[in-house]
Order: sequence, then C-alpha cells, then structure tokens
Amino acid sequence: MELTLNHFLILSAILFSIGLVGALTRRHIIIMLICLEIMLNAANLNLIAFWHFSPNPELMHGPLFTLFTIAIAATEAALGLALVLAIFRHYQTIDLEQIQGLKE
Amino acid sequence: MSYSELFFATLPELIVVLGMFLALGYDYTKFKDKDLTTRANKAATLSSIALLLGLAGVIWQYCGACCTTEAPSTWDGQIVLTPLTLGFKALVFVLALFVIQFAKPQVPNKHVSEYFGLILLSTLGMGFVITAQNLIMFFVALELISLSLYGLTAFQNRKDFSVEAGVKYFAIGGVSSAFLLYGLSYLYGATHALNFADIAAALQSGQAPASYLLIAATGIVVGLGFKIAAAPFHLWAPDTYQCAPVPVAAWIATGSKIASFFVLIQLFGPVLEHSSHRDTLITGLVVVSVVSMVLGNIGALRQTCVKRMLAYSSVAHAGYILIGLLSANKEGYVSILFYTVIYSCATLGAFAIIGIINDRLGREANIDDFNGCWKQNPRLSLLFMIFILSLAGIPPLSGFFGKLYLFMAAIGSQSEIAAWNEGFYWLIAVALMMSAVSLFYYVKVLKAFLVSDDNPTLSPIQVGKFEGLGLIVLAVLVVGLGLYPTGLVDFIAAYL
Repeated sequence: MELTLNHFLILSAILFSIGLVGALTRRHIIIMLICLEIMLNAANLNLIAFWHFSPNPELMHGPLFTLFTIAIAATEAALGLALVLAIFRHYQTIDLEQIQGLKE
Repeated sequence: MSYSELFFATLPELIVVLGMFLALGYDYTKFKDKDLTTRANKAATLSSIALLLGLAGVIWQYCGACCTTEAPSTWDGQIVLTPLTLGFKALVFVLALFVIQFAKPQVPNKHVSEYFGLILLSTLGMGFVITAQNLIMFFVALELISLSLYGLTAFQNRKDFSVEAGVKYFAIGGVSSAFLLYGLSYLYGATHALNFADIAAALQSGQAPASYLLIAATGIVVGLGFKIAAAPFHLWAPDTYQCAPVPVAAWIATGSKIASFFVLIQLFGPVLEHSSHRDTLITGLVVVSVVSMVLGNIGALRQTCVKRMLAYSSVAHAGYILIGLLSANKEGYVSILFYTVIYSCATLGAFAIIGIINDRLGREANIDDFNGCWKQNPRLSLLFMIFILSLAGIPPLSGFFGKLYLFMAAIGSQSEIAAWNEGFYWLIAVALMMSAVSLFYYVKVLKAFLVSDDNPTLSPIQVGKFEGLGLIVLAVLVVGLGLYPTGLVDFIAAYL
C-alpha cells in the first residue's frame, strides 16, 4: 500500500482529537500540557505532509513553519510549567478540581 | 533583501527591545535596593521613553523611508509597511504608552521591570501581527502576544485567583492556538503558500479544495474567536478580566483585539469571499455573532463587579464587530477597523478609571462603590461618562458611528432582498435590540456615578499628570472621532 496525503491527514486528525479530548477533560495541568503539545504536533504533521505532497516542495515552506511552531510549543510548555509552579506555591496542589475558586 | 533594509524596517521594534533590556538591567543593578515605587517609576519611565522613540521610528518610516503602498514583494510578506499598517502600529504603541502610565502606580509585585517588559513584548507582538502578511510571522507574533499576556494575567501571584485565572486563560488559549495552527496548516495545504497575497491569489483561482478551506476557516474562527473573546469561546474572559491587574485586563481587551481583528479580516476575508462553502461559513459566523451579542449583553446585566461587566460587554462588542466581517466586502472591513479603534480608546479609558478607583479602594470595585463619585471627582466622572456612553453607542460619540458603519456595511452588502431571512436585516435587528439591552447596564453604572449620592465611599482622588493626560487624550479621541469620523474612515479605506 502506498502512503498518500490522506493517510497523514487522518493520522493528524486522530492525534488532534486525542489531544483535544484530553485537554478538555483532564484536570491535571501537566497532562493538559501534554495534550496541548499533541494538538500542536498534529498540526505540524499536517504542515510536513502538505509540504511533501505539494507541487513546490523546493520552497521549504512546510519545514520552516514547523521549525517555528516547535519553538513556540516549547515556549508554551515552559510558560505552562511556570504557571504550574505558581499554582503549587499558592495552593499546595496542582489538581484543578481542588482549586476551582472562581465562580462560573 | 539587504540587512540595512531589514534594520530600518524593524527599527521601532529594535528600539523598544533595547529599552526593555535597559529597564531590566537598571532594575536589577542600579535600582536593586530602592523601594518599590521608585523602581516602578524608573522602569515605567524607561519603557515609556523606549516606546516614544519607537513611535518616532514608526512616524519616520511613515514619512516615506520604508513605506510602500504597492503589493508586498520583499521578504515574502514577513514585514509589510503600508500607511495603514504603520498607522495601526503607531496606535498600538500609543495605547501601550497609556497602559504603562496607568500601570505605574499599581505594580502587582516586586518584579516591576518584568511587568513592564512583558507589556512591551506584547506590544511588539501586536505590531508584528499588524505588519505581517505571512502565516509564519503572523503565528509567531500572535503567540508572542498570547504568551506575554498569560504571564501578565498571573502576575498578582500573591492574591487568590490570579494564578488560577492565568491558568484558565493559558489552558483555553493553548487549545485555541492549536486550533488556529491546525486551521493554518490546512490553509497552507489548500493554497501551497504562506504569503497572504499568494494565498488570496490561489483562492481566487478557485483551485483550492473546498473541504480543506472549510477546515481552515473553522480553525481560524475558533483560534481568533478566542482572542477576540467571541462567544462560545469567551469563557476565559470574565475571570481573566476580573483577576488580572487592571492595566493588563485593559490591554487584553484593547491591544490584542486590534491585532486579532486586523489579521482576521486579512485571513478570513479572502477565504469567505472565494470559498464554495460560503453559505456554511456565513451561517457559522452569524451564529457566533448572535450568541456573542446575546450572551455578552445578558451576562453583563447581572454583574456587580465592574470589571466583569466590562468583560461581558467586550464579548458583546466582538459580536457587533463580526457583523462587519459578514458583509465580506471592503466597506465591512473598513468599518471593523474603525470600530476596533474607537472601541479600544473607550475601553482603555474606562478600565483606566476603574483601575484608579480600585487602587484607591484597595480591592475590586463594585458598582455601588461609585455612588456619589460625581460630587467628589467631577472630572473623573465626566471622562468615565464619555467612555461609557461611547461604548453604549450614544449619538454624538464615536461608538454610535462605529455601529452605524458596521450595520450599514452589512445591509449594503446585499442589494437584492427577496425573503425576510435574506440580507442581514434580522441580524441587525437583533444587534439593535441587544444595544438597547446594553444601555441598561451602562446606564446603571452611570447612575451610580452621577445620581446616587447616599454615603459616598470615595474621597477626592488625585490623578497623576501622565495618567490624566492619557485619559484626556483618549476622551478627545472618542469625542473627536464621533464629530469627525470621515477622516479616519477615509484613511483606512484609502490604504486597505
């Protein structure tokens, strides 16, 4: 069987859905961060796949964009971990269930 | 491409970055042992000077040095300096200058230079989003704004709820960024281009697969809908506005909205115009717009905290502005940009006054706390009245003309109307009804300010001279753009 663009798109859609469901349902901040990374990587996979099957792969658009988004994902994780630290210092827990102080 | 060109194109940003590092460096060395107020004043002064110099750089670029009006060819659209983008960048810098002045007297914790540094970084992000015509640059700059604002929201880390609001903002923002990136990847897949001009050309040729474009449009609407706080992606807004430091809340409500709407019309407009799923997209946008207006205005009715009320009102305003996007023509886009400008001026002013009052009270102000403010602080009350009435859309003020242009553009976009549900008449009827609802809560605040005078809680407030100057400039803008709206509208229309 030959791999086509659609295979990659389906894989990335599955990854994105897993990440989305995890980010929306899990109450643990670290797991939520991991789910965010999965979602961003699904988009990265898309970019690379679209680039590979595009009529003008010599322009290197896809890999360029992906490099930038990988860097952004890293900064996002760093900021998320900083927030985890701040939360832990204040509440002595990082379980979001226990710290829901805001109404609505 | 030569390095000197790049240097001159990014000169304002370079100056601001330099100023930020100077502020950080001085704060950690020379002023390390000074008290908090002095450090805050020094850092704010350095940041303001950097922004002023940056603004001078923008004006210098505007006066012909790097400014082009033709389609971008250099650097694949990473930085496009037209009179319009430069004008909006200048506006963002000016608003940031005011935000820094409003932030100066109420620094949330001992990390003062980081506080101003993050405000400067988000300003740079907004400037880059406005000048970007390329998906890479746009996404990186948008993340620069978002990441700075997440950090700023959680800045009062000694207070309850502040970090929690930051985490909430971060979690929802992260999901929406992922949606946006997913949508952008499909936009790239459909058009095989990153440059906005090439994307528009590919869309126009009609060869882009329609199903890809539908996914792309969904991702963009979800991602940017979060940034502009449109319902149903607005859940972060009330908590974030309430728990963030007031200047930060003001900055989230103004600067990031200007940038998001600026890019929304450039990205979403061409997709909407050329997609074969146009009707589906329009229906989706109508739903988002109506839900925003209804939830925003109804939600604002029952708030007692003024910041939460303004948060819900900003959701409602996002709904009004989306009506301009629905018209999918140049008139609509011009009216969107015009509305964001006046909305930002009025909102920033209102938040600044709430910040001053919060600072005096030492807690979040409720509507009752404003009772009898008129007698004690007549000038502050007058300014607040101008901002609130403009947000409500009362005729002589600019908010009215903003709404008028938005609704006229939507009506004018469809000349032949056969059935009642064609055109956007019913949508505008909803918008008008919701504007009437919004009058109730805006006037409720004004009533507390002007009419109620039983046991005033506030004594006369001394406003710092730069803060006062900022408020007066904002008020003059709000009134002036109401008396003479055509100047700005013509400027936007000429260069869009």
